Amino acid sequence: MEMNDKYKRVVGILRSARPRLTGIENIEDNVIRTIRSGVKQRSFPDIFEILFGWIYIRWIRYCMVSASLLLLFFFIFQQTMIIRGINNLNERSISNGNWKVITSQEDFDEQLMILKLNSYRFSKGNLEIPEKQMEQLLESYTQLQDKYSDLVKIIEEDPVLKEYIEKKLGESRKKKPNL
Amino acid sequence: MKYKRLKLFVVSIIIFTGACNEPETVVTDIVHTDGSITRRIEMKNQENNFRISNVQVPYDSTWTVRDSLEINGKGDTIWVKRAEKVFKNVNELNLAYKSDSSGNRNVTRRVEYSKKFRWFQTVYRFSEKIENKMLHGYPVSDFLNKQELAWFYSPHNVNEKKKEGPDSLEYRALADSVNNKTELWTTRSIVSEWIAEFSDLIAGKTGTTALQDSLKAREEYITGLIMENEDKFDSLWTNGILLADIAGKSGAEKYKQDADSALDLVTDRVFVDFKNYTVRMVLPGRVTATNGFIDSTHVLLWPVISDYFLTTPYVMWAESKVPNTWAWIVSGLFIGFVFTGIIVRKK
Repeated sequence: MEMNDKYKRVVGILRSARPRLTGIENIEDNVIRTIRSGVKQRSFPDIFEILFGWIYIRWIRYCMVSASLLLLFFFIFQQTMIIRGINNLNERSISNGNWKVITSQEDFDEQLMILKLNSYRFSKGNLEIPEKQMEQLLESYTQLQDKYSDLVKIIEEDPVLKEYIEKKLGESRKKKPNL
Repeated sequence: MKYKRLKLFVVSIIIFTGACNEPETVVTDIVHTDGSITRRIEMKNQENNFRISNVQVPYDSTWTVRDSLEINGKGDTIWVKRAEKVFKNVNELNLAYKSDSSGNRNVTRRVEYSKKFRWFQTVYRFSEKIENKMLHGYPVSDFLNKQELAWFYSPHNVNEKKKEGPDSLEYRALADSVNNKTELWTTRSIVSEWIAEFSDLIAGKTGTTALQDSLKAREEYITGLIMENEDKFDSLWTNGILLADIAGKSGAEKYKQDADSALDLVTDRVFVDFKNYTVRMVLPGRVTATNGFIDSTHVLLWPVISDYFLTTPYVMWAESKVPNTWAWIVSGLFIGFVFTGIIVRKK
């Protein structure tokens, strides 16, 4: 019984002597801060919902996905066409840097052919040269052409002769006054 | 008539020597994104002869012109004239072509420019077109296959290089084939042109329908006849032998004047004095398509030779693409946004 009384007395003393609260302001600040941070955490899903709210509306979602897929396919298509075009361009490359238009012998022959077709129009001839002389002229022209071709061929085939001619040509060029 | 061949020879020599005196010309068109064009003409000649009637492309006092002298690889002195002008747009350039008084004034030239917005890229297209000389000729593509066409349109010196290099035999055979076929093409086109003109001239006269039909049907035969008698063409024509074979004896007598007039028209149309030159193009962005050639410096090139626009227009065109960076960024952000949304939804 005595023990029980003692125990009750100790409990009574402890109950009457409550701990004194210190730093009440700190506790209040902490509580307010916690409440405020709680408010912030709640606002993040709101922005998210504004930005991505469309994902919950079926037709908008489909439109957005279709538009982005279209863009993607269009991009791939354009790039493929460009690559194909560039690959085709490789076939049109010419490495010759010193490129220019030169009238070929064939072009000249064609011009001659057209002239032949055209020549009948010179009916009122202004050049009074006998046919024989004309033929001689044409013949000598052809011979000259043949001889020139032969000469070029001979020079090309003979390295010593080629070297000699190149040397002589070089000398003659040196003599030429440079403007 | 016996003097005609001499005249032909003399005219040929004049043409040949004339060709030597004309400057070697390269025209460079630099196309800008706003549609303006800087045209540069570089003319090189062994003589100081750059009279407007002797040059290939028109220029005038409004151009910035620089003259200089250069020594070429052979040690010869070369006269160089460089002319440059900025044209606000293609219309201005076309206007210059309209008042063309250059050596090539007899041909119709025109430039075109287009700019198309294609979201990721902007597509630029620039072309220069030379109108065909003949109205009733055949396209060369009717006579040449793909390989032969490529050879036909290739620069002469590139072809020559191929003929000297490996597979020279193959290339020589190809060159011969192209020459033979182009000769046939030219003659056939001239015949077609003559038939059309002759038919027009005799159209109003009585009893000519049968002759017109017969001529068209015998076009191939006439072509063969002319090619066979190419050397004697002038005498055979003047004596009326060819026409008698083509249109019959009575037709030849009756329509000789019309036939001559038709041939005059055709030769005037075909035999246009044209001075060859080179066109170069520089486009904004990356070139993605062209019918020209690309040299080692990535510049586009075209040879301009009269054969190319004999029966069909010769169009030198190129297309380039400039990427629109802002469109790439916008598209990337949009695609990223959409896929983020989808991922978020799934979570």
